[in-house]
Amino acid sequence: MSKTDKINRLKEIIKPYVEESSKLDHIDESTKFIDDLAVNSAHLVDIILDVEDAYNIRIENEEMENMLDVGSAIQIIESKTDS
Amino acid sequence: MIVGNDVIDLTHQKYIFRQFSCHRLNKKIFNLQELALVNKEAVTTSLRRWTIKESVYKAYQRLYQLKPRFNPVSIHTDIIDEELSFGLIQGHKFKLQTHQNHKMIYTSIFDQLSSVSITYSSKKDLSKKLSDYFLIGPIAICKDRNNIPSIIIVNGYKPISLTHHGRFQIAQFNPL
Repeated sequence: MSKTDKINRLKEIIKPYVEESSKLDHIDESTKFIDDLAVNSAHLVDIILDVEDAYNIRIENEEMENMLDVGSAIQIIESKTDS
Repeated sequence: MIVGNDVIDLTHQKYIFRQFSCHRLNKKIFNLQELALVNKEAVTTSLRRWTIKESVYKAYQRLYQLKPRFNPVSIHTDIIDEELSFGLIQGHKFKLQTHQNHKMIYTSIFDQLSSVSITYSSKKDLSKKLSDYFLIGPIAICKDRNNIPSIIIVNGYKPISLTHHGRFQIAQFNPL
């Protein structure tokens, strides 16, 4: 799966938690969930649960600590799925 | 001066966490000691714990100018009574106060130097209200590289903490 495909899949997971959907138009690896997409920090937990479900993985609390942007989320997913 | 605040609009409760009360979600927010309490207490009490954790995170991040991180489990909450609570992180103990009614839960760091919390409806409204407190012209708010907000005043910066959920937007700062 290409980087773009991975970002697009993540975008679908994030979408329900972004109030202003236009913010999703130009997301890339540097996009920050809270600062750039205005995701409520409570919804960050929901996103992490949804990522776990979508990829059938478990994300530990220590890993969750840095999962604040698209790039680090993809990095964690890749490390758990070998893709 | 330490500031840190968080609000939950209870009429938007279902939008706070999509799966609140789900054990998997709780394990990502609460430590073992808290989990034992969360299983027995009212949902609003658990939501109050979340506001304590968020307020403490904001205060602690500012205190040490830390990069953003997300680890709510690392903050332990200790609720004393309907208003008072403590939040503990890395050996630091913060005292907090909560105002709660059927519409909202609002928690902020308790500050003996009389910090104030004000509601606002927009950035413009906040700027105007701050101007009234500081008796100077339009006031701007900036955010540093870690996204920590401050009020820009004539001779420097003053800490401010901002929280927004549903219908409520509240700022905490010290007008002195």
